[in-house]
Formats: sequence, C-alpha cells, structure tokens
Amino acid sequence: MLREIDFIESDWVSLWWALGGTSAMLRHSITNTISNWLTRQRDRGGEWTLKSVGKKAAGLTSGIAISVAVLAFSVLGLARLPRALFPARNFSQLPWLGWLPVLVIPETVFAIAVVALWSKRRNAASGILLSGVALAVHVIVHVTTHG
Amino acid sequence: MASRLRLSPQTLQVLDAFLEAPRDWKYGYDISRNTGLKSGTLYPILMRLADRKLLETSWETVEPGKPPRHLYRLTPDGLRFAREHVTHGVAGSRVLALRGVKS
Repeated sequence: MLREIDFIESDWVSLWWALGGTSAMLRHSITNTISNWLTRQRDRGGEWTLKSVGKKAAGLTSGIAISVAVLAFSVLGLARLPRALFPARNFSQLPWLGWLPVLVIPETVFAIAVVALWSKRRNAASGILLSGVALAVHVIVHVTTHG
Repeated sequence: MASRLRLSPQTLQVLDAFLEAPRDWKYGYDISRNTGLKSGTLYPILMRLADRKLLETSWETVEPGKPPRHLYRLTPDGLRFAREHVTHGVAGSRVLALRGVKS
C-alpha cells in the first residue's frame, strides 16, 4: 500500500495516504497479535473458564497490592530514615535524595521481584510490572508538568 | 466464508468499483479515487475480501530495484458475490443495495 505513494500527485495526499496505510497496518497487526495471543492461551490452558480468569485476576491483584505496600513502606518509612539516623545533618542540600524512596528504591524492588517471580508466578509478576510502569509514567508526567 | 463478511456501505462501494471492469486488475490508489475511501479504510476492506477469497492479489514489478505494486481483482466467487450484493441503478448512477446483509 505504501508503494502507491509514488503514483500520487500531491505531497499532502501522499502524506495522508501513508498515515492511513500505516494506521491500517498497525490496527491489523494489533488485532492479529491479540487474536494469536488468545489462541495460544486457549491452547495452553484449555478453555477460558471463570475459574481460570479469576485465578489470573487474583494473581494480578496480589502483584499490584504487593507493589502498593512496597511503595507505601518506601515513601512513608524510608523517606524518614535519613533524618532519623542523622538528625544533625541538613538533607535539604541533597534534593536527589527525595527520589530514592519514591522512585529508585521501589522501581529496583519491582524489577528484582518481576525477574524472580516471572517463571513461577507470572500473574503476580505482571501486576508488579504494571505497577512499576504506572509509577514510572506518573513520575515522568509529574516531572514534565511541574518541572 | 463470504456470508460472514461484514457488508458495510464502504465494502459495497469497493465491490461496486470492482464491478466496473470485473476482469481487470486494479491498484489500491485507483480504487480509492473511484470510491473516495481513504487508505486506512480501503486496505482493511481489501485484506478482508482477499482473506475470504473474494479477491485475488498479485504483485506488479514496474522497475527493477523498486518495490512491486499490489494489484487486486475479483475471483469468480467474488464476482458472483459482488453481483449478488451490489445492484446497479438504471439511470447511469450506481445504487448500492444492502440485500441479505449479515454481520
């Protein structure tokens, strides 16, 4: 379909043709990928029963819950640790220190947990991965909007 | 197979464009100009019709070193299907009839 561009007279029409063709290919490949994935899942684990879907959802939810717990512990607990350990020190000169408990430590824990759990508890690992991605996206959006 | 095809007005437009010269090979851009459909709408329809063996496809090599151009033509089944679902108006204009449309 992109070969047709050579035969289109106007540049703008060519551009719209290319964008339309690209979106068609993208939609086609996404649909194919999802349908292949669903077929693979069906072949691997038999029918998609309510029980199996519930089990997957429970695994995913437990992964998200673990991530939220880790993040809460890190933000509420570890963030206060330096001041508790070194009360005399002024930490306002180290602005990067604030990122450790809210981003670096939780993301590191998430990454290690995902690698460790991926082969045996994939659903929980997926939940942790999802939370890690959500946290990273949140931080990126926060930094770009608030500077 | 063909009965499962979703016959949207756009799909009927494409079939109608093929019926103008049913034995001729057509390029995607020519069909787009005849029907007014954009590439993002046209190509999924062409792919669906080809998947259901209502269209046959071919590659035309125009110049060596350049990628070939895709061509489309109705198969005998496609011709029958198109004639069954697209009817022509008597006063020169083409009228699309949604006869026996199945989703």
